[in-house]
This record gives sequence, structure tokens and C-alpha cells, in this order.
Amino acid sequence: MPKDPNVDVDELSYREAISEVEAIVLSLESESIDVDELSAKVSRGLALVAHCRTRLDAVTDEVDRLVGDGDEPS
Amino acid sequence: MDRTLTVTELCGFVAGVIDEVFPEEVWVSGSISGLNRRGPHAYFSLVDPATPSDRQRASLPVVLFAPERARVNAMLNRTGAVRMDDGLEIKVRGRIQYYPPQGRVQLIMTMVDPSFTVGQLELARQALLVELATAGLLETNKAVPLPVAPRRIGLVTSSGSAAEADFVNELRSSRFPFQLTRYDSRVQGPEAPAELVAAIAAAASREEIVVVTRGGGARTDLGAFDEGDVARAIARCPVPVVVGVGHEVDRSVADEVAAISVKTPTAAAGYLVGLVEQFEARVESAQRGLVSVAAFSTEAASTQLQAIEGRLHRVTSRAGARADADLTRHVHRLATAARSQLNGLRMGLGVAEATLSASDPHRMFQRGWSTTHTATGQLVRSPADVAAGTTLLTRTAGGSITSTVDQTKTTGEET
Repeated sequence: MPKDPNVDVDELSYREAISEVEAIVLSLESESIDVDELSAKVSRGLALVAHCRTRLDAVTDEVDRLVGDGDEPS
Repeated sequence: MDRTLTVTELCGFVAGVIDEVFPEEVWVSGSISGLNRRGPHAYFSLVDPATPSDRQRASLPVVLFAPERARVNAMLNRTGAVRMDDGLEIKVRGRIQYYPPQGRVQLIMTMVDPSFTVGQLELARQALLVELATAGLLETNKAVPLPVAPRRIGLVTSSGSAAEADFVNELRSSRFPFQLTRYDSRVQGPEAPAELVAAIAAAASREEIVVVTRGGGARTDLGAFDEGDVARAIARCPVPVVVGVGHEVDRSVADEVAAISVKTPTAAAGYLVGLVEQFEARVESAQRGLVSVAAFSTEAASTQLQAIEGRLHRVTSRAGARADADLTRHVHRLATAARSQLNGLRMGLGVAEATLSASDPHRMFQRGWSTTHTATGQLVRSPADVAAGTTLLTRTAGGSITSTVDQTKTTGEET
């Protein structure tokens, strides 16, 4: 379940953040939302996406660091 | 014949008849009996050996005077095979003579035929060998296991003889502590066979090995060693018998039946010393063998260990290389999977971001769209939502516009 939308994005785990993003997108696609609310949700969703992307980038860097090139052995 | 003869006349007459009947020397064979060689002359009787009763046995006195005795002895010495002794069968030549002082017919011996005696002995010897072979006695004593290092030795020989001294000296000169027991026995003459048999039996009951020995002599001196009783005693002896009878050419029957046969008393002792030396050498060799086997085993074990280590190393290396390759492959798969996951996530994020961006009212406003609410904040979705005079709040990209409704017209009503 998505956490409270007021929680600081940076404190969310990736799973929590992406779940909230999915919930926001779902609500945008299915509900009639006030422009202000829409704006807030989009803003929150984009912040969550940015957070997730940051986490992804960090994990990618970590993976690269851990496994090097990860080339197929000869 | 009314005339009465004197003894001398009669004896002369008998002598004349005998001279007439036996004008030349004759050959006669028989066994020696009552040999008397004290003094320069020798006397004995020739008897038939195979006569059942002594009382019925014919007997011929033989006289060997000193000159003939010297010649006969020279002949015997040349052949080396025959020595006159009681019981010996012999063929002699001589002149038949009537000897008046003793009133008897006697043979004045002039010559001997040694080959006759040798032949007789050989015949008897061969017959005995056949008999022993038939009874399986030629191999009996040889089948008795030899002691590996005999210590208790029974010496059967004539006490005080040179043979005894030779044997004892040879044994003593070795460094081995033999325990020697002497069993005295005559080794020559009519009593020799029975004494040898008794001595062998006595020695066999106490000793590990029995030595029967005597010094060299004429073939006939060794007659006891061709006797059946002696041969059987040796063959049936429960311990091995070493026979060392001094002879150069022929082997006695004792030699044939004994476990071991050597030529002299010294050789007999030497054989025993050799046995112990062989044992000693075998022990030493075995010791050396053990050491070298141990060394070889250690070396072999070491080599084997090295080989195993090498194989282990190669296997480990291969396993390591394999594991390394496996790991690398796994790492690669991990990396690929991780990146794939990340890319998926990234794509998901992109989709979410695009969706969100598409929903962003700001971007709609930028493109000229706007939203209009009533003063109460209700979104105006159609002209029916408002009436003339209603105050409207319109949001655009640049800000907001407040206006009042003049007129409403629904779609289709527009001209």
C-alpha cells in the first residue's frame, strides 16, 4: 500500500515510491480529479519518479562497481 | 695191505697223491675267516659264505708266507679297493699242499684277484640298492626337513680316530656354538654294522642332525657302509643324516640313502658350518631386505603422495578454473539480470513519468488550455453549469482571469 502522500519522498524505499507512483497514475487514469489535486498528484508522482530514478541510478552504479563490466568470460 | 705204514710214510703218500692231483696252482674263492696276521706270515681259512650251518661248512686253511704276503699286499695297495678282513669274499691262487705236522690240507697262497672281491661287493651293493629303492628308502632321509641352523650334532664314528679329530677341529674352528655329542662305533670289521646301527639310533633320539663319518680306506674297509642294516638305519633316521665316508671314487650305499653325502669328515663339518652360515646370511639379507623394502616403501609412498598432490593440484586448478569461469558467468548473468531489471524499472519509470507529464495541467495550460471554476470552486464542464451573471475564475498558463457570464449557449445552439 502506498504510504501517506505527505511523507517526504526521500524517505521512501523504491518499492514504496513506485507503488505510490502506480497508485497516482491509476487514479489519474480513472478518476475525475480537481486541477489543483491533479497538479499536486502529478507533482508528487514526478517527485516519486525522480526519487526512483535516483535509486535506480545508484543501484546501477553499485552493480557496475560490484561486477565490473560483467562481460561474458572467454 | 698187511704192511703197517708209519705216519710219515702215510703222510708222504697222501702228499704225493695231492701233488699228483693238483700239480699246479688253483684258484679258489670263499670268505675269509679267522684272519691272523700277527708275525710275518698270515693265516686264515676260506669258507663258503652261503652255507646254512657252520658245522657243515667246508673250510680250507690258507697260509700266506711273508714273501707272498708282501707281493699280495703290493697288489692290493695298487688297486686300493680290497683289504683282507674277516667275512670278505676273496679269490686266491695257491698251491694245495698236505701239511704233515698238522695233518691237514692247506692252500699256500701266492696271489689274489682283487677284481673278484670288487665284483662281489658291487653285486651285493647293486642288489641292496635295488631292494632299498623298491622299499622307497633311497629318498626317505632326504625328505626329512633339514634344520635351518642345526646346533645339536650327533657324531657317529670311531672314538679317537683321525676322522673324529678332523671333524671336531673343523667344527670348532667355526665361530658357531655347536653342541657336539659323540656316539662311539666301530666303522670297520664284522661288528661295525651293528654298532653303527645302534649309534645312529641313539643319536637320532637326541640330536637335530646326525653325522656318520670315517676316514678313507680300501673299498673293503668301507664294507659296513654298504651293509643293508646300516643303510636302513640311515634311511629311517628321523633326523637328517650327513654321511662323510672317506672315499675317492665309489659311493657307498650309505651315501645313497643319506640326506647329505660328502667325501670326508672335514667336509661333513664344513657342510654344517655352511648351513649355519647360509642361515646367518639369509637373516642378514632379510634384514637388509626389510630396510630396503621400508626405504622403497617410503620412497614409493612419497612419490605416490607427490603424484596425488600433483593430481589434486591439477584437479583443484581445473575445478578452480571451472569455478572461476562459473563465477564469472554467474556474475555476468547477475549483471545482465540486474541491468535488465534496472532497465525495466527505468522504462516503467519513464512510462509513469510520461503519463504523469501528460496529466500535468501546467503543460495543458502552456498549450492554451484553461480551466474555469465558479466562485464556489465548482469546475465548469458545460454551459449548463452556469447562468448569466455568474462570476467565473479561469486558470491559464500565465495566471487567472475573473469574468462574469453574459450568455450561455450549448453546443448545437451556436450559429
